[in-house]
Amino acid sequence: MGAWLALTKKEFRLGFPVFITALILYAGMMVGAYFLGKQIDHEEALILMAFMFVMGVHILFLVFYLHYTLSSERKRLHLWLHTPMSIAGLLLSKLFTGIVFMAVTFVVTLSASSLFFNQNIDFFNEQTIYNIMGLSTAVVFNGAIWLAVTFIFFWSIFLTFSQQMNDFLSFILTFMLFLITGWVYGLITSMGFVETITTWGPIRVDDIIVGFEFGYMDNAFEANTLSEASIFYIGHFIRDLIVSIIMFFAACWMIDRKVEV
Amino acid sequence: MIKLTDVTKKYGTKRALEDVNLTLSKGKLIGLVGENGSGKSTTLKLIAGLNHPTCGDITVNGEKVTRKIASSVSYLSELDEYYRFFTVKDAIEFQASQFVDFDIEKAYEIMKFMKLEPQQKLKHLSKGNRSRVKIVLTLGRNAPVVLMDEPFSGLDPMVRNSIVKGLISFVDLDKQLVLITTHEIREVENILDEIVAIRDGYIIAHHNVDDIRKENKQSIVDWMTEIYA
Repeated sequence: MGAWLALTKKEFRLGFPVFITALILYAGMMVGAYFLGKQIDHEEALILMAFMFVMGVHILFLVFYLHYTLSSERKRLHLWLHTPMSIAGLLLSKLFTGIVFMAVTFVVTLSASSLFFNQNIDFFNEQTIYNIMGLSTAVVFNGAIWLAVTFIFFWSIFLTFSQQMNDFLSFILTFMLFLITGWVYGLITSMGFVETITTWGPIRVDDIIVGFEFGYMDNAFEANTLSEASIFYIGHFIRDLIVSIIMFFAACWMIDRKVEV
Repeated sequence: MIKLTDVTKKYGTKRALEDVNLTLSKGKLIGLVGENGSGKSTTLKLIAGLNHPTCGDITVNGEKVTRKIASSVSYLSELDEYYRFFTVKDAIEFQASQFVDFDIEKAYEIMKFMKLEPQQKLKHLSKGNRSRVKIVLTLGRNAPVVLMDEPFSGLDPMVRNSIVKGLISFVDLDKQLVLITTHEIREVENILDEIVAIRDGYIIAHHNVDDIRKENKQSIVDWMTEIYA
């Protein structure tokens, strides 16, 4: 455990530039939206749009983070791989630091935004604000971790291909494989048999905000939320979790057995 | 002990090693010499478990080599890449955290011998000093097998000799086997026990250094010049 913690400490230092860049970028967008909005007298609308944009981009944070840190390691595979630690340990350390950085960036953005919304926007009641924040958290983290594991899996395939051919060809082949796999996965999950065994454990969530309606009437900015009831299935979550675990260990196997220095 | 049995390594269609059979015993400092691209680095990477043989078997102390052999093999790469945000002290402490056989006191002793300061950032070090750090991190481990790929490249020729001589004092030849690849034959020949010559992926000679000196009445450089002619 001590070795893994020391490795994780190193990962924090290695990935720190991505964290700082994201913070500056998000703060820049929010502040930019505020000042631009102030100039045209629509700061609420622009801040809200900037917030939604930042949340959208934040789903990709882990992928960017992993891309940066794994690319750094690629230059020094002889160091990264020369360890008695399992590949799972190495990758989990990166995933963990990425999630921590993502959470901190997320909390900072969310806190600043919620402060602004509470003070300046009166068309959302407190419950709605918590609804938006809670749902953003669930959607962003669930999506980000799923994408991150998918990225690790295809990065390992890319690395395996790059042992035999140049990076450009490896990328093209990996990308094609990504598209084909996505298509096949879609086909499999929509098969009647798979649907039957995975569509269980429904959770009904009322008033989920699925969009916004912005308007400008009588010199005042107006915004309405579009909400509807949705049903989530625990079975789908478990299915995706199992696929993530399989992809993660397949990536570990490839790096361990197929990747060379 | 390191044992390579019928080892062949190909990168695509390019052959790096062909049918190599080699047995290296502990308690020896062995030089692996050859021209550029002859297969020296590949041999070391295969023993370190960082590359996989196309066919054949490699064992270290009877254990089949996989990436996990890192627990008993200390490997110094020829590449000049390390985590540049580390100070020398950070690098030593990180290495100590990753390998149970890392002797932190010994590492600081080697660091002093190498005239390195613990607070120096690796990104601010010269290439020569970064080479010294690599030596500190590799020899700081009490691993049964030490593999060093061009450890003296980048070192100032004026200090290279004293570092080579110092190196021997940080190796426990009762317990360790050291395999070094180098082009600086003249500097290392006095500390080597055995020499293995490789050409185009084939092992062409494996001799005791004293035998070459006594029986052939040649220096290693002269012997090499003769066999590579």
